[in-house]
This record gives sequence, C-alpha cells and structure tokens, in this order.
Amino acid sequence: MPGREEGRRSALVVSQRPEMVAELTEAVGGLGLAPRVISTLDHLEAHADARPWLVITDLALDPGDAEWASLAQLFPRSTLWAVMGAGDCDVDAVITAFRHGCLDCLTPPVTREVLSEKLASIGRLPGAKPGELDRYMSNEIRLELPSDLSVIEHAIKLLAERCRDYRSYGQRALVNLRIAVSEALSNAILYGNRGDRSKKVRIRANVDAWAIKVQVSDEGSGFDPRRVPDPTSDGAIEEPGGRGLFLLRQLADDVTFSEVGSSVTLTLKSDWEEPVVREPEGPLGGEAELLVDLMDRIRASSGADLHLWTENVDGLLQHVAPLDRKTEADPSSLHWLRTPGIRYAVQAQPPGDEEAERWAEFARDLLDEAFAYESRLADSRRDLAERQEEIELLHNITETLGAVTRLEDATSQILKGVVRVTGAERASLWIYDPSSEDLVLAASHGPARLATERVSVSSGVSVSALAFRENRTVRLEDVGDLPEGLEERLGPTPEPWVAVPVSYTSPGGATRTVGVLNVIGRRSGSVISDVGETRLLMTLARQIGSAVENLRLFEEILSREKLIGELNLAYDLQMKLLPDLSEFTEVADVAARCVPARPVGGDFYQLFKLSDGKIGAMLGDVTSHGFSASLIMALSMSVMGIYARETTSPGDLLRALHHALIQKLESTEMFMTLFYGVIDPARERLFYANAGHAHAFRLHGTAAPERLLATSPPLGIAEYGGYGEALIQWAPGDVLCLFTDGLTNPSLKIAEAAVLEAVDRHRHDPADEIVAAMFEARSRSGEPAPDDQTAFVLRA
Amino acid sequence: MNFGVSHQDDVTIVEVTGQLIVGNRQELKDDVLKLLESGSRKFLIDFKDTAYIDSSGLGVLVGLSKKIREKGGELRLSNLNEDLRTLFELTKLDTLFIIADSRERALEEF
Repeated sequence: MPGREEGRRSALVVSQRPEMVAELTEAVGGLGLAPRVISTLDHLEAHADARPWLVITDLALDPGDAEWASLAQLFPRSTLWAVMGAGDCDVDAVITAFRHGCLDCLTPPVTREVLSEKLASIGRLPGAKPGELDRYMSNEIRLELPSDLSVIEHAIKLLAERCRDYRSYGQRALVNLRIAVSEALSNAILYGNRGDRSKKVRIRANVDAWAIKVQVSDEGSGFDPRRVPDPTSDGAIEEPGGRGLFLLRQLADDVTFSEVGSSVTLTLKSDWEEPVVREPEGPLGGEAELLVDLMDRIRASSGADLHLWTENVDGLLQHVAPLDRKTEADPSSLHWLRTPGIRYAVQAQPPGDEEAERWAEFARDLLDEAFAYESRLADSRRDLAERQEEIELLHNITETLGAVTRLEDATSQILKGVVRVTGAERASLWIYDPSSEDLVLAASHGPARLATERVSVSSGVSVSALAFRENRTVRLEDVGDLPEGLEERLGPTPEPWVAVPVSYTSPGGATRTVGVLNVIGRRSGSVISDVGETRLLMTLARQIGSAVENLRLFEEILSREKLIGELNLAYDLQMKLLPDLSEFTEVADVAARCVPARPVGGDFYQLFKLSDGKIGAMLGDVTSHGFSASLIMALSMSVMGIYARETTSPGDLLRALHHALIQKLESTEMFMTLFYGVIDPARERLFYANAGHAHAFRLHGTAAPERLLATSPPLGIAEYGGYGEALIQWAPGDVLCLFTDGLTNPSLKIAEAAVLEAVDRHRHDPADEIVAAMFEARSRSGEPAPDDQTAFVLRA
Repeated sequence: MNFGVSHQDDVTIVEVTGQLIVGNRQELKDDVLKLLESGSRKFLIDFKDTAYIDSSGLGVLVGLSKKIREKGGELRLSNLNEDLRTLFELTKLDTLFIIADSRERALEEF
C-alpha cells in the first residue's frame, strides 16, 4: 500500500493510459494536490486510507454501478469526477457515473486552469476550508487526556465524528462504539489510574471504512485480563474486576490486551455493506422535467417564442420543448446552459429579434440558477439523509441541521439574476413571519438602503408592507397611488420601485401570500419595458414562492424525521440500560415498570447482587424529562455500576455519584432524587441513603406502609456535600416499594394515598401484581401532569 | 402561571399564581435573574395561589437560590400549600430555603 501523503491534500487518479495519467497528474499537481495514481478499479478498498480531495476516474476502465458505488462509499467527502479520452463518447458510462454522485465528466485537454475553473464553479477549491480538510487528511487520532470521567464524552464525540466521515458507520456501530469506548476509558481512569488526575489516559485510534481500532492505555500497573471471570457466573458478580470487560467483549468485534494489561485495543467493525446497484431514473431525467417546466412558465409570462434544445448521444441537436411546436435547429442562435454536465440550450424565435434574444438569455440564466439550486437541494437532501443514518445518540440533539440549503442562499442567487436582467439597481426579498406578523428580510442583492431587517406588515411607511397587505403589485412610478406616510418618506419623485407579492399556490389550489419581492432603482441604459418587467417579476415571484414554501416544508420534514429517529433510538437504548429483572428471581421477588413521559425520560432503577447475599436497590428521578435528563440517567447508571459493588455505605455511594455528576447537573440546572438501599437478609436489616426522594416505603407484616424518609436533599446541589444514611430492621418477606412523582402529581397527598392503598391491598401478592395495581390506582386518580412514571417493588 | 412583582422596602416580592412547571419555569427564572442583575438582593417568592410545582420548577427554585446567594442575597418562600409543604419536607428541600407560612412572617427580619 502506498504511503500516505502526509500533510498534503491529494487527488486520486484512476487510469491506465499513460498519456491520460501524465495530463491529469500535471493538472492536479498544479492545483497543489498530491497525485496518487492507481491503474485499476479492483481492490479499491486498498486505498481507503487516501482520503483524496478529488477522485478522477478514467471511463476507459469501464466502471459500472458497483465500482461507482464503491468509490462513493469509500470517498464520501471527495469530489468525484470522470474523464474520457478525446475520441471516446459513451453516454451510458457518463450517466452511470452521474447517478452515483460523480459531478462532472472531463474531456481533454485537462489542464490546471480547467480543473480550477470547474472546482470554483462547484464552490470547492483546495484550501476553501482548511480545518475541515486537514482533519479529513488523517486517519489517525492521538489523544492524551487527564484521568477525569468528564473527558469520556468529548473523546467519544471526536471518535464518532471521525467515523461519520464514512457512510459505512451506522447506528449499530456508533452506539457500540460509544458504549465500548466509554467502558474502556472509565476502566482506565477509575481502575488503571485509580482516578489520579496527574496520570494520563492515552487514546490511539485508526479509522477506515471497515473498522475503527481504538487503543486505550493508562499509567496503572496493569492487571491480568484472564483472571477476570465472566460476571454472569456465580459468585463473580461482586468481583470489582468485572469492570465492564464483559460488556467490552460483547460490544467490540475484537478486544486485545497488552502484555501487562495497562492497555486495551478494541476493534469495532463498521456496518459496511456491499454496494447496492440502484435502478436508473425514467427516460426524461428529473432535471429535464424541471427545465421544461420552467421554460413553459417563462414562455407563458414573457410571450416570447422560446425553445429548449438538448444534445443527444451522437452530439446531434434534439428539440425538447415546446412539444407542440418544432422549429429548425440553428446552432448559432443557441444559448447554452453553463451548468457543467448539462447539455441544454435555449433558442429564441425569430432569430435576431433583440427582445426575444434577451428573453432567451434570461431564460438560460434562470435555468442555470434553477438547476444549481436543485442540485444543491439534492446535495443537502443526501447529506441530511446520510446524517440521519449516523445519528449520534445523546449528544447531537442540539446540533442544528447545519448542512441544509438555506433559503438565503437560494434566494440570493435568484435576486442576482433579477437585478442583472431587469437593469434594476437592487432587489430584496421579504418573507412573512406569521408568529410576529412581520416581514423579515430573507435576501438582498445590490447596495442596501434600509438598515432594518424586519418590518411590520401593518407599517404605513413601507412599500413592502403595502404590497403584502393589499396583495397587489405596487409601482412607485404611478404617483397618486401612495398612502400619505409613504410619500412623506420617499419624497415626491421616488426612484423606480416595484414591489410584487410573492405567493404560493398549494397543490390543492389555495394561494397564500408568503412575502414580497422588491426591485428598486434603475441602472442607466436599461430598456426593458414596464409591462414585460412586471410580468417577469410576477413569474419570478411565483417561483420564489414555491421555493420558499418547499424549502420550509422540506426542512420541517427533515428535522421531524431526524428527531423521531433519534428519539426512538434513545428510547431503545434507555430501556436497554435498565436491568433485566429476571436475573434476580432467585434472590428476590422483584418487579418494576418505567413509562417515560416523552420517548426518553429521567427515571431509572437498578439492582445489584452484592457480597454475602446482600441486594442493592436503587430508584432515581432526574428533574425534567427528555434528552438532558436521560443523559444524566445514563451517567448515573454507569457510575453506580462502577461503585456499587465496592462501596458498603450507601451514603458514600451517593457522595461518589454527587462528585461524578455535579458539574453536569449544575450546568443544566437539574437535580436528581435518588434512593439507594442495601438489603441484608442475613442480618435482617436495610441500610439506605435517600437523597430527597419522597416516595420510598417499607411494608412489614400488616403494618401501615412505613415511609423511608429522606436523609439529605436531592443530589446535585453543589454546596451540599454530605449524604446521610439510615439503618432499619428488615424481616424476611418485607417489601420495598419505591415510586416517582409521576405517579403522584399533581396532588401529592391524594394520589400518593391512592397508590399506597393499592400497594396495601396487594401487599401479599407477587411484586408484578403490586406494580400493576399501583399504575391502575394512578390512572383512576385523575389526569396526571406529564412526567415519567416509575414504580419498583422488591420482596426479599 | 402568572406572576406579579412588587417591592416592599428592599425586598422584591414575586407572587406566583397557578402551576410552576416545566413549561413556564423559564419565564420566572429569567425575570428573577433580571431583577438580580439590576441590583435586587432580597427575594420572596410567594406561592399564595400555587397548587403545584413539578420537579423542574423545584430545580429552578434551587438554581435561583444559589445564584442569589452567590450575589450575597437571600431567597425566601412563603405560603406553600399543604401539599407543597409536604413535598419540601419529604425531599428535604426545606433545609435549603427559609420557608414561611405567610408573607408577613417571611418579611420579618428579612
């Protein structure tokens, strides 16, 4: 395998023709890209480490669907181009390439200038975003971190981001990575370095499309991994060395330890799948339909006789639209679209007519813009779909959909065209915001005169507001037409100004005004007639209206789908974190139910088999619901899992939890009520600590439920460091009953009494029947406020 | 939830009516912090007509109490109904606030 071109961006050239290779390497070298040449499309995976900026594939190698799919999958962030020889002409090959995300097909001569121009036209020049690209160049991550649990989250985020450079990492791989690396790091921090912050934890990771390999090393004295028993085996459960190694072995595809055991290497495979060949699109591609449709509209509104032509397989001109009227091909009168890869041209009839020619030019520009806009939209759609597959569980919920095509980008392109064609000095687009009843500036082109970006639709001194309110085109040249306030503002001889309402007609036929398009001022020498101009503007306004509305809907759908996907995943994961109670049947009769108010919540319970037949039981309730709460919940579960078997005092355990979580809790203004009790059946006692949890009870014999009072305020209140504990008697057959305030709100006393009454009535029934009775009592006592509802019952 | 702000001597009194829950707690928090920024130090939140505070509402009260204390001020609560009073006792949050039965009692020696 060739060495990696350290520090230099590269271009991958795939060709076996010496003259082609020479031409291409010179051209990419001229751009400052390090050329890397391969002569075959077989075993492309050998080059997965390349991370090229540009991939140019010679069509003479005859790449098919499978090869292009591999290229796209292996080099997801690279610009893919095809190249063909001077005499070659294989349209099918080009179409195949384009279908897989290839952006352009080069033909000789390929020079540095040609490449540079093409890259500029798609907005990708080497050096555009150095940070992102440099990151992309390296497959390896090396980190040296202090022994602090808080670094885990950051390290995992970094690794997951790197994996997401490849499409082959899906949910399964990323979730496994998160949990496995988290376990490995907490092992290194808590056991290897014994929490000593002066000691370091080192991470070395290597990512490619197939797998990520992560080595975690600590500065501890190591241990013998062979001596760590399977924690599910009898008696092993309280062995502190259980340490999540079991979990590591379950999640990672390979786990190896260094000789002394102070370093562990995890290998996790990606969700790589063999490329799937997609069905080709219909005979008239999506792009052609778009162009024909746009042409029809321009023809209708301009009155000009415009025709659309394309160049077919054999390089012959072919008439595309209008369907009902053919015309003679005249290559000299064709206005070719500039979008790369698109061989379409606009022609005006009769040739030579000045106004018709101008319309043809305008139509060509508009088609170019529209096509560029469509392809950007398609890019973002693909990007977003990709991102959705790569959901990063709990951390990226706050991430905005950064890659979406912004309305500003789309509209500013359109406005640029408007200004150029109408000869106006400037143009602006204002979009209606229903929540504030304002018009908000979405885009503008040309020297702005107005300092504001927001104007009320009821404003008496705004031309835009007037056009919007009355839903009609306002021309400032028609004097006498203006309300008083406006005339005062603009003076008796205002500059040319046309404000056109932008409307959207839904497929159902209803038309809504969604904004206003302004075209203002006039550069000297412009001649377009007012009538034509107005008609043009109205056509544009309709186009913009659809664009605005489609984009809005599109964004709405995407964000909703993304959110739902994440929530489902988070729910599944959260439910998986809760213990499987069937593993405890031989030590206790135990049942629990957890119903989050939203897909994820902040209630949780956990159970531990401890030494000498003791049982540890925990119930927690993080204030607030949703993602932030579930994150705290997951952290608590993992910290408790680490400390519970090592700590004999429940108060100490809460203190450990306090220190692990306090920063997170404080920064999010949350706290957590938590009950943790250790039942010791041999000594007939219950040792517990209760941090502000209101509903914890013990049932003994026929006595009324005994409340196990809080021994401290809730967890997460910074200045409160001490967690008290209490010791009470525990007779065999006693019942521990814990529940969260989701079962009692909004009326603590009445609802709690109802739940306790149900517990009392079923106190001699199996635990699961008690839990069922508690939820039933809850549902009978009125509409609950939305909160997570959890009940936990244990008889031992 | 509604709340009104009034002043008595140097004490800022915030009267809360309705529920203090996850949906509206931010409003209360923002306003109290604004008052804290503008120099108020002694705060009394009066829950005369408040039936219910959920756990995130409690979270806001704890957070506010901390921020006010950091600025050398104090937050007192008054007029909690029986349910809320019980809630504060059961969660031991009553150890973190001065809680008075009535507004008058809360204002004594503030």
